[in-house]
Amino acid sequence: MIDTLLEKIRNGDEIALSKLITLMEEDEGVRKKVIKKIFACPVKGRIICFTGPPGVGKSTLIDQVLSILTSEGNKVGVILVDPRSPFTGGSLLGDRIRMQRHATNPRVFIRSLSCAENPEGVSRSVKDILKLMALAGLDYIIVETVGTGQIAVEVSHICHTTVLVLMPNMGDDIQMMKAGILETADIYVINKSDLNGAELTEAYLKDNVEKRDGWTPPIIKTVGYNRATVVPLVEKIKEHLSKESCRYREKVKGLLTTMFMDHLDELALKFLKNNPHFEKVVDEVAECKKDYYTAIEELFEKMKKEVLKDD
Amino acid sequence: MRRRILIAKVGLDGHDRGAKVVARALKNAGFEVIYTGIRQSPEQVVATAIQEDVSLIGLSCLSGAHIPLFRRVMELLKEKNLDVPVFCGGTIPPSDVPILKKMGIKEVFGPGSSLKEIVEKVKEMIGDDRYSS
Ligand SMILES: Nc1nc2c(ncn2[C@@H]2O[C@H](COP(=O)(O)OP(=O)(O)O)[C@@H](O)[C@H]2O)c(=O)[nH]1
Ligand SMILES: [Mg+2]
Repeated sequence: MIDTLLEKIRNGDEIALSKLITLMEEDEGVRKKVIKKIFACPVKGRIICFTGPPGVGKSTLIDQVLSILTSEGNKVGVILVDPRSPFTGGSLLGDRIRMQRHATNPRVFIRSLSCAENPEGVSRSVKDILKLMALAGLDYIIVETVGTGQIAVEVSHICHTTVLVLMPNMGDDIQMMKAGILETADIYVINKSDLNGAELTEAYLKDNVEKRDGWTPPIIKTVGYNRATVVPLVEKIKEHLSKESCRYREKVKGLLTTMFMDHLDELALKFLKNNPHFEKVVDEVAECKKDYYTAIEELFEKMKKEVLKDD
Repeated sequence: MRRRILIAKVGLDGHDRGAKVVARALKNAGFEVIYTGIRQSPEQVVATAIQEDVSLIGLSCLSGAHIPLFRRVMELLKEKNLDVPVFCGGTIPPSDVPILKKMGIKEVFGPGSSLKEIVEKVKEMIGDDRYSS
C-alpha cells in the first residue's frame, strides 16, 4: 500500500499525500519504511522552518511568504505544528486561519499537526513528514513550530534554513532562549516592527548573533500585514538556501547525534525493563551494599555484553 | 485512530461564536479539531478537508444561505470522491432539515441543540470505538 501511495504522491496526488501523512503520524513502522524507501531520491524541495514564541506573527508571515513564492510559480507545502493543550488529549488547530486564502490554490498544500498525544513523537514524525513532502514535487516546504524547547531544535536539524521570528520589546525572553534555538537560527526576524521597541530586540540580537560557517545571520524587520516588508525576508531565505551547504552538514550531524542518543535511550530502557539483574542491583544500592557508581558501571558492562553486542 | 474534525464557517456573515464553542467542546472531548475561521467558501472547505485528512466535517452557517452553500460542499465532496460525513448547525429552520438530510448531511443541529448532544452524535458519526462510551 505504501508503494502505491508513494507512486501517486510523486504524480502530485494530494489525497494520497494527505493519507500517507496520517499513516506516518500514527505509526512509527510506516515512517521508517517510507524514509528508507525515499531518502536517496533526488528532490528539489527545500525545507524552511519558521520558529519563535507564540503570537509573534509566524503564521501571518508564512501567509505572505506563500503569496510571494506562489506568485513566482513555486509549489509550496506547509506543516503547522501546534503544541497547545497537551493535557486534555484533544487539540484545536487554528494556525490555518491566517492562511486560508491559499487553501484552494493548487500550488499550496497546508497540513496541521498536533502535539497533543506525544511531543517527542511529534518531532520525530515531523522530520519524516517533511522529507515525504519534499518528494511530492514541492519547491519549498515550510514548517511552523513554537520556538521554545527541544522540538524546535530537533525540527531545525532537518531544515535547510531556520527563521527565528521575534517581536519588539523582547529582551529577557531572548536571554531565556539563548541556549537553544537562538544559536541554530539562520535568519532573525523582528516582526510587528510597526510597534515601538524593535530597537531593544535588535540590540539583544546583535549581542548574540555572530558569523558562523561563512554565514552572518541577518536581522530583518517585518510587518506581517505588509507584503512589501516580507519581500526582503524571502530574498534572504533564497540567498541562504543557495549557500545551504555551508551549514547543512553541521545540521545533519546534530540530527544524527540526537537520533543516536534517542536510539541508545530506547535500547537502555528496554534492557532495564523487567531485568532481574537490575532489580537485584537496586536492592543492593537501597541497602547500601553497593555504591551507585559501581552499580552503574557494572550495569553498563552487562548491557554492552548483552544488548550492544548481538543487537 | 480516525479522529480529526474540520469545523468551518461558511457564508458571508461574520459571527462564529457558535462554531467556536462547538470546536472547543469537541477538543475537550478529545478530538483534534481544525478550525478555519469565518467566510469560508465551499471550495475552501473541501480543499481543507483533503489536506487535513479529516474524518468528519462540521459546517456552520448563520447567513440564511445555508441550502445553496451546503449543497455546493456536498457536490464538491462527491466530485473529489471524498467519503467524509458532514453535519451542520446554525440558524436553520426546522422545515429545512429534510432538505439538508436529503443532500446527504448526516445531522442537523438547530439553535436549541446542547453541546452534550452534539458531542455524542459526533462520536457516533465518526464511528470510532475509542470515543463511544
Ligand atoms: N501589530 C502587528 N500585529 C501583527 C503583525 N503580524 C501579525 N500580527 C498579529 O499578531 C497576532 C498573532 O499572529 P500569528 O501569525 O497567529 O502569530 P503566531 O502565533 O506566531 O503564528 C495576530 O493577531 C496577528 O494579526 C505585525 O506585523 N504587526
Ligand atoms: Mg501560528
